[in-house]
Amino acid sequence: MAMNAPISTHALELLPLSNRHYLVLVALASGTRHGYAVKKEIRRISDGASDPGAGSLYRSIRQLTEARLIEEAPERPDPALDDERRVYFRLTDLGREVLELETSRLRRFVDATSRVVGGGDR
Amino acid sequence: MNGHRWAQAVLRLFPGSFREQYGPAFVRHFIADWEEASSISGRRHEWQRRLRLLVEAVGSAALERVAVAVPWCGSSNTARQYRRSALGGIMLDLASAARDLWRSPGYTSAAAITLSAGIGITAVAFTIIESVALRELPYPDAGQLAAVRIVPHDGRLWHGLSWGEFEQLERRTDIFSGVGGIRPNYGEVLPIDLDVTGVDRPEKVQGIEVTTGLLPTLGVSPILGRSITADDRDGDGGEALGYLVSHEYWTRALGADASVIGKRLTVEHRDKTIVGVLPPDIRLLLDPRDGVPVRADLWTRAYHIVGDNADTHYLRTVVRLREDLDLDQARAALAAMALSWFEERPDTYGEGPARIELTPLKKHLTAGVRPLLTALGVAVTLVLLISCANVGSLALARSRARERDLAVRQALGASTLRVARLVLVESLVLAAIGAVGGLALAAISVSAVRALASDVLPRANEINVGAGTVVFTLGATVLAGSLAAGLILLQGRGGGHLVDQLRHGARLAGSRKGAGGRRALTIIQTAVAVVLLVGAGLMLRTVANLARVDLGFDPENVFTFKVEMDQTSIALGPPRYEFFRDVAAEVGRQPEFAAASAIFVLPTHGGFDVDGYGRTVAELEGNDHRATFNVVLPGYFETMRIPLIEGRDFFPAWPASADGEVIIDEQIAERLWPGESALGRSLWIDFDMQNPTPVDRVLARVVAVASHTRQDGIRDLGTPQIYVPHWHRPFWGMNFVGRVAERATVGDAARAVERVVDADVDAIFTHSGRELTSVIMAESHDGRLLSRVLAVFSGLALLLSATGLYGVISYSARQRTQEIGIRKATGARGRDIVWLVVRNALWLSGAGVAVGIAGAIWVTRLLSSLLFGVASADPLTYVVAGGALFVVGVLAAANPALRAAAVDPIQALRAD
Repeated sequence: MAMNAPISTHALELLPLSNRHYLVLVALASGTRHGYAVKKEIRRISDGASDPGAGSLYRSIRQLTEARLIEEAPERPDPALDDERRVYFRLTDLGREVLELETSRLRRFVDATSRVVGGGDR
Repeated sequence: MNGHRWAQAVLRLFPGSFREQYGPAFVRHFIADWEEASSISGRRHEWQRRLRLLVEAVGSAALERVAVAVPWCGSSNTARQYRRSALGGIMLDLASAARDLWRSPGYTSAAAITLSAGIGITAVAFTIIESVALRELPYPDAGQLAAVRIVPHDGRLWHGLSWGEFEQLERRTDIFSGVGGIRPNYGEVLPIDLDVTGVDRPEKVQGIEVTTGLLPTLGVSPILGRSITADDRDGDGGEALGYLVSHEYWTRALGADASVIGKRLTVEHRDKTIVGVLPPDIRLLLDPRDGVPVRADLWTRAYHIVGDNADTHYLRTVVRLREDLDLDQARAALAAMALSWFEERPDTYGEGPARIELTPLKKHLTAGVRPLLTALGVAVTLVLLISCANVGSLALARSRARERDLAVRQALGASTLRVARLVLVESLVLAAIGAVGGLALAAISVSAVRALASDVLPRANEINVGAGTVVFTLGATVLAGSLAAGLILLQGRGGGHLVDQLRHGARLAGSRKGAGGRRALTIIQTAVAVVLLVGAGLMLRTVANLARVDLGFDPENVFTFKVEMDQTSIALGPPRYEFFRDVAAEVGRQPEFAAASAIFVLPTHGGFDVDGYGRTVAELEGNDHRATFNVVLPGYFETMRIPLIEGRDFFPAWPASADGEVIIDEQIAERLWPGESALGRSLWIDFDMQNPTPVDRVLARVVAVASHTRQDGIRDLGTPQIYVPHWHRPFWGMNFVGRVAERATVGDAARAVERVVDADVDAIFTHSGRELTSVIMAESHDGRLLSRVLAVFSGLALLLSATGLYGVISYSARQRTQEIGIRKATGARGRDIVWLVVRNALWLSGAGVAVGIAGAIWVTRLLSSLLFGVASADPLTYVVAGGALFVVGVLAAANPALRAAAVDPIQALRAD
């Protein structure tokens, strides 16, 4: 995209993400989903540890939309099963970049800290 | 309500923009979550999950609203910006604390209840202290008001000022902008009762005599008419003629009629004039030991009776200091004055000048109860501190996961300060939950406190939970929360970096240093709980015993009221008797009553002692048989359901002959004519009414023998009784008793009585009625209140001792994890481990119970005068109280014991 350079600085400024925001981004990384599917995906990838209710999920979605990390998707993946009240969401380019940056930050962080704690214990 | 309705309801809480954009999706999602809650697992978790959904949604709605209202924090769209904002930081801390607390409901509820107890009891105590001692008096510029007392040089106790001294103070306008005096009746500490007739509703009211300066000094002026002045007197004697009436009397008896000013009313058979009406709720707030009634309905001018002893010091005096003077300057001026008085009249004050004491009125009011209030304050502060200490030890006992959680946070870079802040926020959240519980406790208990304190404290009826209490509770909450947090941080991680603890398996969560102290605290708490439980148990048994007593009459469904006759219009002889007889008959005829009669002194309230009785004058003089007599109307025995063993009731008609008739009780009959009938026999009775005239010694014929009643009180059988007909002793006020008809209520009965008495122009209510049981139970009233208060306190004490024990036991069980692991590895069974932990609890409980029982034996002796049918050293009560504490001990140890028994030996040996 044309806006790559300015976006990068912007993306770094948005770090670190909260757990919930991060998980929403991760859930949308594999494709366009509607709200309830996002929730189910979050539950799946977090192994049940995170299970947002409707209130906090749509709050996160509202915040991420405002930050332009996600957006409503015009296309509907499966018109046959669709319900027109459903709203679908997908990552924006900025969202994808933030997700990558945050993931690598977390990876480095876990690597560093696991040298200090936890390692041999489990 | 189903998921859809809930979803719609919650959605309404979100801001409009959110609703517009995500409303339908939110609802669908919420319903799906809602349905899912019941399908995941058993019903037990269903409501928990749904509650969580609701809480989460409502919380999100609140946060969204904040985001709309406060753009600088809410529109920050990333976690980082959000965290940077002040509100965001606090919200995150709060959310984190709430999450942590939600995850350990056991700890949260135990700690919140413990803090509720501490904060609640502190709030109650503060409410009392604030209402009684701190709240401003209800007068304008009340800070300038002071009470004056004179203490003569030789230290004699003078209750007030003499007229001479008072008048000298009145002249000192350079010190005082107002001087007022109150004259207790004839210098004695007695309220004056006045008969008021000539108005629509005659009744007995409280009257008071004050100097003309009193009301202006207090800053009170009439809302109608004028105040009392020096001119309110008749020609020569100086007797007051003008009366001010209280607002309450004006509305109650005078129909709030503005035209009453200038009207006459008859007070003790003298004509007086109403000159004004006072504003509502005027009170005289002086030290109760001054004997000044707090409220009065008739206010008149106190006047200096000519010939009154100039040296009688009875005028209770209140002054208003001039604005430009402080207390010390006024005191200096008064000291100079005392010196000049001494020089003028050296005989009056002893060897030297008197001391003129000037006490701010508010301080004067509570002078007598100050030590009591101080003790109360100290006691509840201790309770608050103990409950904080218990939260500290509960936190210690909290699961290991929590500690690792904190340590991990620190390892990941959270500063010690940040961890401390988390602990603080968490404790504050707990304390806030506690504060809600505490305020509820205060609000619930305040009416009991008011009733219990009414005889002890001035302004007791003003005790209420006001803004002051709420502010104070907030303060106590912050204090308790911070204190608990401090204790948690101090005890929990006594030195050393958390990461070190984590890496080395953190064998000990805290130092051993505090352990002994915590044990001692637990023992003391248990002991206090035992003492309070024993007290509550003894009082409960007393109340139960009192209710079971056979009184000899049936007090249920009896309505009682007191009527006096207008003595000026009813002559002695038949009219006086017939007046009461007819009132009783008229009441008995009402459909609301099955029967009615009257007695002079109500049951359980005693009677008049006779000076002696006997079959002959010689026997009367030669023995000291005790008995009491009472005056009744015909029908009394039937109304009260007192069996007549033999004979008949008094006849209602005025007797044809002047011969005396009496009804005696079985005890007298048995003493004078053992084994024989007493009917028709005569006995001599010496009534000894004040003056030993021969008239008081009469010969009377026994017309009936009644069974004995507990006329003298519930607590013992009392003295033998003699009933005299009213026509023989024509008292002019009688207590009526009416047995309420089966279908009627007490309210119906009260209305029927008012109907009858209001219709009779000569009848004056002195008490318009209540149930006889409430009169009788007045005796056990204090006992019931006390038992309730003790029950509440012992409940709190049990709770504190349980949480204290729980904390100590589970902490020590955790300390011994390694030992337990070894024991298990070497073959100890789960049962043995449970016993190991429970034994520890039993030891602590046992020590506490032993100390507590020793304390209870000593303390409950103070209660012995209140007890009935139970000894203060009642073994059963002690066993039950002690047993309760053992049960609490075992319950408190159950969870830690089971946890210890479940310890995996391998894990225990490796990790801890």
